[in-house]
Amino acid sequence: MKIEVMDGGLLTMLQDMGRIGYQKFGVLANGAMDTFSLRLANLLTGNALGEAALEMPLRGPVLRLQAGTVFAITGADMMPTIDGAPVPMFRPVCMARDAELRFGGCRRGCRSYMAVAGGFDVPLVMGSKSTYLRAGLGGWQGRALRAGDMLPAGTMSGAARDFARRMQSRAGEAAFMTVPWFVRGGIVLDTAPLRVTRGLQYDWFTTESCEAFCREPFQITMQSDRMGYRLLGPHLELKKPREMVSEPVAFGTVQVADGNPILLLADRQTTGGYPKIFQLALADLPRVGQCPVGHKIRFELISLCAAEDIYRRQQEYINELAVSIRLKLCEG
Amino acid sequence: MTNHKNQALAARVLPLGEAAALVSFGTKISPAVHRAVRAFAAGLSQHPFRGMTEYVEAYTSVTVFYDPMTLCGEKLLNPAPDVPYSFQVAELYIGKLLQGSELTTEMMPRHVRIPVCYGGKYGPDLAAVAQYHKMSEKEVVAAHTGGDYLVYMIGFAPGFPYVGGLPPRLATPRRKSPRLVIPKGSVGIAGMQTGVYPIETPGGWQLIGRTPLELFRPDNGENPSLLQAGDRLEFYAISEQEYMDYMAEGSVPVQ
Amino acid sequence: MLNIKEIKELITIVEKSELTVFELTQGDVRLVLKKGGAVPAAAAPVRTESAAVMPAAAPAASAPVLPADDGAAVVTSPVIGTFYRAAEPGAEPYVGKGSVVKPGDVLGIVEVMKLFNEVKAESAGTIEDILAEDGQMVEYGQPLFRIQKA
Repeated sequence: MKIEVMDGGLLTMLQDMGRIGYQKFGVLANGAMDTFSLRLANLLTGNALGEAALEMPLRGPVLRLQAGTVFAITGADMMPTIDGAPVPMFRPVCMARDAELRFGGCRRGCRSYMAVAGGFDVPLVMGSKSTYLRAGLGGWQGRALRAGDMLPAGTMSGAARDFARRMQSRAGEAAFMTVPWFVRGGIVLDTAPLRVTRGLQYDWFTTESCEAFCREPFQITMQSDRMGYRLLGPHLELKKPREMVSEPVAFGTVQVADGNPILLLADRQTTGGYPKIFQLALADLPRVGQCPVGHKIRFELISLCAAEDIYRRQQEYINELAVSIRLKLCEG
Repeated sequence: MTNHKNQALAARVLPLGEAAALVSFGTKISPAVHRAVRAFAAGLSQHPFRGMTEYVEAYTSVTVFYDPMTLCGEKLLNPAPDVPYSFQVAELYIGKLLQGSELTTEMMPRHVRIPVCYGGKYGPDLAAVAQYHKMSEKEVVAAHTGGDYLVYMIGFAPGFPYVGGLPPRLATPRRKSPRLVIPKGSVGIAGMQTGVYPIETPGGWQLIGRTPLELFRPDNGENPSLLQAGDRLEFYAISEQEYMDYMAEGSVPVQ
Repeated sequence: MLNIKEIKELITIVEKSELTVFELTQGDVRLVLKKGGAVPAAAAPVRTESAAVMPAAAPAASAPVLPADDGAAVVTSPVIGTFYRAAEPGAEPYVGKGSVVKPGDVLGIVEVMKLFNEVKAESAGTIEDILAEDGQMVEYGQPLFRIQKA
């Protein structure tokens, strides 16, 4: 099965759960900005949770899909259509004949994910299929998709194959078939605050600054990308000027340089020399991945244990979905 | 956060979010702290705990990354308050490892010699650095090659070494306007730091030369980085011809 | 004609038995009960939806529609679960009283095991009444909408 790229869209790239184990060599983790939507898309297509999928920010690609291709679209609503007919999101879809999948404007969120049953048959680079754009490595030839690319899909699971067979036998004249059930995306771009825990250098900052961070809105500026979001809001002051030596950082670390916070994300460098005031709760990282430039974020401080409880509940939800979806894929 | 004081290693353990812990051996860079960092990292690499995904060494600390769901898997089935959270579990493992790590364990540092073609088109800022210090270019090169360097950590970019040991008389401030593109292999100075750019990136370092060595080898799954924390470095000068010969043949001239 | 109570009893019997398919024809109603074929053994305990009632040869799992005497059609729940009137909290309900619908239109959803099953109109007409509350637990076959046929 091949996926032909007619138009690459804005910056469509293959991402999985990231490159793990190589940060000690200075190699970035990369990976999907919204790992929740990535995993949902994989479950819906019978793939392993961490298989690579297409991450499509803001302006999606135009893809020519072959009959028998099973795919699922999650994350941001970018109004996917095939031959003018809307393609439902958050459920598995099977192509009944060759046709083009297009996307419209971005209606909610800012990153759409598309998994294909069988995943993408691209080489693993240091254990991952994520794209490392700066180094030109991994994913699809180390770069974003462009017109003319032919991406090979991997072998789909038995459940997906049975599903495809059932869908195709009922298709009739339609270009694609889908099911009358869906999962809930879970990540909604709402106004609820994003939760943070105390950072390693939290007590270097004044009480007023820490309180302001958890009270005032911060806007995601234009100088934001997969490496990090530069936030605009109240200045964050140190109690006294201090230098620090470079230390490793994590996905969701909030560093403060010159009073301005930077939220470090998927393409962050492995180390940083700026004080770390807060850490974004792991469970809320996918929501951040759906916040576009210009969006105003509010934060809320919670304890480390509370953050872990929330994360655990999110993983349990995914595990439960895995079972329900598997049953549905098998039985129709 | 707890303090672990024992015969072997003293460290503070602090959470870096829900999926990592910083093990701090001090706040100032020193050979003793560096030895502790290396000893602990060696311990981690020999005795990784279940759920640990990776670790990164830094100047005075080691950050250990883990998967909270593997560490506190028990809590998934039994969310009772006395069942530990993953940071607590990580702390336990780290504490055991700290007790087991021997500061005196001799980890033989590797000695790596880095050939550098200084000046000219490979070191466009050599003249500026010389002028800044009122030295001749030759003197700058002699001082740089005469230094005794230690790689404290790898970070910032793949294979990029944070190198200590630059002779203080060579410390030069960063360029006022950073370059948009620094060629791969460039050797530079920024403040008290010296180092080599393993891949092409923008940057504000003063570029004094270039090495034909590949510091980042993505095809090498075991060791994509040529250098590692703890390596002792020596820079030595090569001619432009030798530099071009290497690039053509792919072998490092022996000195 | 089988009534809902009898159909429910049949489902329970088939579920507990070793049967994987059970078929019954009465008048112009054909009932097919099938246990999900590819469900792995490890998927026990048995979920009630594994004995889904499927009208023969329908591409979508539409809920059985009971014809009523007064020219209205009653759309019932295709599964046991929680009934919702909108796609997600805060969204507009799919339909309201007086909404004009055509076959295939989604009227509501029933959630079970974290999946949302669409309840679709079989016939064209106007929504006369909504027979369950948003967030209410409903049984398989429970009436949800009355449609006055066009």
